[in-house]
Amino acid sequence: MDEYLLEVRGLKTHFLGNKGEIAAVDGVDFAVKKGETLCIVGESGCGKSVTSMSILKLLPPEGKIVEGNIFFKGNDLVKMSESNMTAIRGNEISMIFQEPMTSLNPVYTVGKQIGEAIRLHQHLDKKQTREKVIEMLKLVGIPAPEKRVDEYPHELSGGMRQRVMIAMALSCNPELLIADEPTTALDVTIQAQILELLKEIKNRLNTSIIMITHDLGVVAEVADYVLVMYAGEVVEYCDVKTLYKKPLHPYTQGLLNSLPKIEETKEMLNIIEGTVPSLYDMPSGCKFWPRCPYAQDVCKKERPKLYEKDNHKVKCFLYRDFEKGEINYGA
Amino acid sequence: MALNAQNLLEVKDLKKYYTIKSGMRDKNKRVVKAVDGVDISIRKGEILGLVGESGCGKSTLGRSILRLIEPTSGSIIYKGSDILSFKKKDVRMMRKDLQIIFQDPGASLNPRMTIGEIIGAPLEIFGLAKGKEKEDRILELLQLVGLNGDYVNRFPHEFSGGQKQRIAIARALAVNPKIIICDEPVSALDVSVQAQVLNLMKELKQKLDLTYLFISHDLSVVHHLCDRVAVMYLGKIVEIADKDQLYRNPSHPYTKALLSAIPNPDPESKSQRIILEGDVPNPADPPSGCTFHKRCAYRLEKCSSEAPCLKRLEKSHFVSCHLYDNESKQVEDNNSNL
Repeated sequence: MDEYLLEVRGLKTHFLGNKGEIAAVDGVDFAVKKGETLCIVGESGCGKSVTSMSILKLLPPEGKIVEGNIFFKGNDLVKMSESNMTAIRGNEISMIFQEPMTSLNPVYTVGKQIGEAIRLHQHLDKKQTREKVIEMLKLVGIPAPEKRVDEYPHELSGGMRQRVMIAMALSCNPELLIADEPTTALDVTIQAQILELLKEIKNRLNTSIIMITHDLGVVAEVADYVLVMYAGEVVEYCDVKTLYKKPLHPYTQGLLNSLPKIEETKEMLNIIEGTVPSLYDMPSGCKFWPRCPYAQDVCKKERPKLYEKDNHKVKCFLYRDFEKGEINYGA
Repeated sequence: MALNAQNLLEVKDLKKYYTIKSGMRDKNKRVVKAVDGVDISIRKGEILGLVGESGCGKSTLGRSILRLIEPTSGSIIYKGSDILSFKKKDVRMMRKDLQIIFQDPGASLNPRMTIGEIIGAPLEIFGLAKGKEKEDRILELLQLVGLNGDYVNRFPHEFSGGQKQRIAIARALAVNPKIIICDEPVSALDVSVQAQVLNLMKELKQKLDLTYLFISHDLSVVHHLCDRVAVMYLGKIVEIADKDQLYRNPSHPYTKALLSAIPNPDPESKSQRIILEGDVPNPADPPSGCTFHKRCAYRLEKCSSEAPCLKRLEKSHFVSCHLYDNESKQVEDNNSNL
């Protein structure tokens, strides 16, 4: 077990909504090694952000981890006290959020905000902190860091703000960086800059990254392993090349097929029929069956388990005989 | 004001300037040129894509065409007359032919109106149908966009994002428009739903003989949907060409960078990426000469002093860049085929 930096086992996070309790994350397992990038993909409401918030135990009051373990360097974060969590957050595990404008405080300078975590966790004095902040701004490629350090967030562009967020997240040399849709609010040319920066940082500092995204192009760009989520569950989990070459789950196949691609011209896009089910009203059996082109009777009654072969995991009855070596690729 | 036969709408030298002050006592007014001299025409039956990054003026251009924003100067020729010279009443009648679909269907549908009322409103305003006839037309429109007729009495909050966008499309179609301006209609939707809405838009275009101006920042979506593509940067069109030509042979350095920045959904592709340096400049204080020159890898000496204009490279491929000064001839104003 100690080869993994982070290991999540059977995680279930429930929320108390106005129409009763809902299972936002409904049994999720995955693991991240040192220096590895895991991408969690899925559409809105699939539980990808709640999974990451559960790891840091930053859930809102309505949310609660009801089952499962999150081992970080061998310690279970689920059972950890709040004061111990505080020592980990921002220090050993840190996070980058989607919207850089709303996650930076508009009334403090950039330098002060980045410096806060450094002073708190590394016990440096004022002058050392400032030097460290400037060094961090330089690392994330902000021009004229000596000047930028005294500026306020509104004086920076969107891409620069996201760089500041990354500098802040990296300031204490975390071992795990969780990035929740870090480029979704940015333009493509700026997105390319930020993705390049994240890859460079990963190589230089050997940081493990969990990236949450809905963009399959971004996934192909940065991931080592990919976790595909649907309605709170893992539906497919494997390395990135296998996923794009041989996607197994009908949902993953559907997602990849529905992307418009520059290399090919076709009259109509392939689509996945229907919409994501409401969390209050989940279908019985496999949660994907009402939208699945291969749905059988068993799918409507029973929930499939995660079948595995050669480190390729898939939650679908089409692959029931996976372990026996008989593979029916569905399509 | 002779209209080129195949052009349904022509935009000529359109400008929209905003004046800004940085505080109450700030005496020096500055001008933001959101749209700065755009010439573009929309051909009958085509889907014209308009791409660019945030703040490049693509939405301002789209809205100016409908006069939802009053342009500063220029002309927009539709059916032989200039939309910008229209009086208020004529502007409204023009909108019977020109409709718009917005990005966020959650914000563009009135939460207190039922779906029936939302789709019925344009029918009433333009006096197109009443009573039973109106009810029937609403049902017909709902079916057209793939929604169940039982939904008429429901409210927008009961629908998912994709369904809301279908409702917005039905509302735009209610008056039988000729041109629909689509301002990022699928950007707020999930991938699987995005594909559904794109297919619907393509199907409707064929069925109802529509023409679209499709504004988007997503180059893969534009490639799938559009026939011609115009690229905007800081208020100006920098390149315009047929889709295949633009994607196969992008000529402006900005278009090249934009295309290479698209994340490729193939982990084994080894394509070389052009990473642009810096950010889009502040539109209140754009660089001199070519507004792209500070980020451009191929800049020449004159780029910082002299602004390029659109020149023809090939039959319907135009680019605004000094790199092509010698191999192209200037577009003659009266015969623009942009």
